[in-house]
Amino acid sequence: MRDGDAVRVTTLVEVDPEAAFAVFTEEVDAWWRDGPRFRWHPERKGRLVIEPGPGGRFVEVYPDAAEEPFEVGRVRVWDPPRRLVFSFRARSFAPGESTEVEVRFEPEGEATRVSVEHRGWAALRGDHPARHGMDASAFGNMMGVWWADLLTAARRHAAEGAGGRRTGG
Amino acid sequence: MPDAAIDRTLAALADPTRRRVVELLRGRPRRAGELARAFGMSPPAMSRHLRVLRTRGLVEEERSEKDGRCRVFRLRPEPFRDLSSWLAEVEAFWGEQLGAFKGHAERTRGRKRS
Repeated sequence: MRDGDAVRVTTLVEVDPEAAFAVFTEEVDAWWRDGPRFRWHPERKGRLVIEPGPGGRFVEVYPDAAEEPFEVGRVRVWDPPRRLVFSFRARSFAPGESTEVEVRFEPEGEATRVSVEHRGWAALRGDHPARHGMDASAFGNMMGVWWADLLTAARRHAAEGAGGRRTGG
Repeated sequence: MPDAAIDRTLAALADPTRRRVVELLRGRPRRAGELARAFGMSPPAMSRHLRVLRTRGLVEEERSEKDGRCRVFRLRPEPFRDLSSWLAEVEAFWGEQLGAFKGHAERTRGRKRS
């Protein structure tokens, strides 16, 4: 996947990879943060579940059985205790829009380096050319190597910060 | 999450010529004529691209101090900051999540220290 199309975050956890993988998946509801920034329908007081195995659903299920669970995504790679890949949808996504999250668990001494890569932002636009005013060939360009350059450049440009930030715009 | 402003930025940049114009302008502001020549384009053709970049807020134009008839184009930093801050938001989201994950995992499964 293209470099600039991804966000990467990593942390060192003082447990072994088996435990890290198990906690990440089986206990997702216990550690996943609460509130509207992190949950899909926080007002429904749902619970997060990652069904084990390829094709397993990542869902937010609600105590009120009448409420359909929100499907966050599906497990694409299930490779304990090394790697987990799942599709990922925010609440605001249109049907068919999705991004991808890859989680790696690498032993580091007696601890585990856990890295999350969230990618596929470029593809998000291509799924909806009408909404985003781009035709298929423009989308193809977006997906090119240039995408990486743009975001790298964007960060550099922002870091250089030519002049004060204007509001509005 | 990407918002409308970012969509506009990306749409303006969907054209390869406009991307190269932005790359050139990253070096320094340039005159319209200079940009047309750099791409072997007629001034009206380049002017159309510059208009798209300007209306989407990626570049701004000013009259040259030396020659009032001459238009100079420069990059505006704001759209690039928006892109960058959108990525920073996603980064912050996962940073907080991983912090919570680490706390929970170490609390419940932390290895015994000797």
